[in-house]
Amino acid sequence: MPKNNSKRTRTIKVDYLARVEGEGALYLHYDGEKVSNVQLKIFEPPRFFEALLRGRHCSEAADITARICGICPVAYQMSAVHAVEAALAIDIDPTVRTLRRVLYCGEWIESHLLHIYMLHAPDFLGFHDVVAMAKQFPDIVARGLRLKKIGNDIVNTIGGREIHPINVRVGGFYKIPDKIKLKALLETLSAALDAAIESVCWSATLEFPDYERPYEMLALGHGDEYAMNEGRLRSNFGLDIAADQFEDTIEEEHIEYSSALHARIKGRGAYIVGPIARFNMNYTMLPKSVQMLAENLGMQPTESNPFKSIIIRGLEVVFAFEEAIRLLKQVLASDQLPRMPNLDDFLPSTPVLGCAMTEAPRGTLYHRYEIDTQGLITSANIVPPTAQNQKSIEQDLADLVPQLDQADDQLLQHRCEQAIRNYDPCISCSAHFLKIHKRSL
Amino acid sequence: MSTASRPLIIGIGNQFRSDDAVGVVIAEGIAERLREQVELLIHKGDPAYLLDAWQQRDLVVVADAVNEDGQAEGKIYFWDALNGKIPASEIQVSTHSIGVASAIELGKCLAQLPDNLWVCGINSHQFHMGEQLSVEVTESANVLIDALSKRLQVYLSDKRTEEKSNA
Repeated sequence: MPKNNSKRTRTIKVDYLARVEGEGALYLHYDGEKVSNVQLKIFEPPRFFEALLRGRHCSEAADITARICGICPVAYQMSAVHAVEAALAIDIDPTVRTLRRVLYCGEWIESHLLHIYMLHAPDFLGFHDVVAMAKQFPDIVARGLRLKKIGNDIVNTIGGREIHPINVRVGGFYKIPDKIKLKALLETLSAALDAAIESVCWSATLEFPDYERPYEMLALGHGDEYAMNEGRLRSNFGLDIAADQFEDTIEEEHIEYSSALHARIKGRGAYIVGPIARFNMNYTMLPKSVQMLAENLGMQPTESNPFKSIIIRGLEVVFAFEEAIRLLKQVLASDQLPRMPNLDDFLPSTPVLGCAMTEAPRGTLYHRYEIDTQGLITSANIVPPTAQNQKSIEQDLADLVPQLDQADDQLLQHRCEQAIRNYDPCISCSAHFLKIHKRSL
Repeated sequence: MSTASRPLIIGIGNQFRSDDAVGVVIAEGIAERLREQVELLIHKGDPAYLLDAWQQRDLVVVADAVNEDGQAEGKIYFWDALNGKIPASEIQVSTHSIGVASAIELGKCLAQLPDNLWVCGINSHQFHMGEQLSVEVTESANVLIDALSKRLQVYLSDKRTEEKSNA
């Protein structure tokens, strides 16, 4: 590999990072010793979803916010309905809770596999994109797409359609999925579990850059299960808060070059959310089978190499398969139709406020709604995972580039893109847009 | 004609990003003309979804916005995709993930393609927020809807003749 031994400044510009929760770019300036400026620029015009929600009925929040993301609409639906249900003090039926968790498993499966195979794996194997990878490894890519489709099938069956599902409502579902279809899902999942295990074993054979940072990692924690839909937000640095403490603990700041707010822990700074945080914080809540698999792959719940997030996504896929199988068996064994409360019976006599946090594939997603006596939303706040990870992505790049001082431009470019994709910002990052402009000192 | 043998018309685009919606407009225009003779699918272009949607189909028509620098807005493109390669840089509109051309190439690698695949598009430069197509793109979309509808009718007629002779 050619090396550049003379110290030089380097300016890295990623002109267009499509669908990084919007439209984004990267600007990074390295002065030969340290990174003096790094900016993950989100230039997507603000979409004003919180403003759009004001004046709308709280029953609409799930469907409106599902439109925020085509890849993780279930996460938006889940955080929205849980926040509204918290505000209106609606207890959901256990079967509804179970089916929502299966639905979330479906989204984790499809989102994680999309990222593993189409976005992240080409980075590790030195391919320009998944098409080039498929030419050399068609069976591997076909396996990824086949597994991803099972996630889509879950979302379609329970959510009503694959993209922007429409079946989730406050208190339950508009329509309880047909048991014949749920049984078919169970059979498909069971038949494909081995392929999901093969998938993560394959990802563990990739070559990983030797890189670690001491992150503060935040993830929901739940005493009985690997948290998805509910729990307290906990960190490896001792944070432990309920949803209604989120805004007292996490602050968002406007950054001049970004139309997305940057989140940080008050008085502490950057943190990460997402698969690595969940794995480390909730390892003991994974089924023993997944823990053993992780152990066999050399993964410990102290992992802090963000490049290994591809393995952890694979482990979460296996978990989601096993969990969906377990839960579908429960649902199919029950003859009782779930109770679905009528929203009108719960409209408050005075204005109320509700918050919820759930685990989107990319990390914790917070929603807060204030609702008046007619059920109309008077105020809303949404904090997505990518906004929470932005500051850490910038810090990773600032930390990583000096370590690659001797790398040629191609490797530097490659590592920067790969480091951004460690966080699964979104789909179009699979296209490689980096342009490096260098200037020798 | 069975569902699988009805041509599938896929419109790709974002209806809230100006000319980006032209693929959707073309697909809906064809479906309105040919009604039950075709099947309509509006999609944002996730390649994994496309590979699944077009498998085991006789004919799939994909309509999308094209973004080719240096070419006039409204320029019409048509490719018989299985009998030639689509320049990836052309069918590579910013908001459509990895692009239709890449999805087709992926389909070739994985042997997940329909028997016939027509891809059409219109060169577009306006992708700002909004629901209106530009005048040039609208005019070209109408031309393309007309031409493709006629071509599909010929295809369907030939297909029916072939089925009768095989019966």
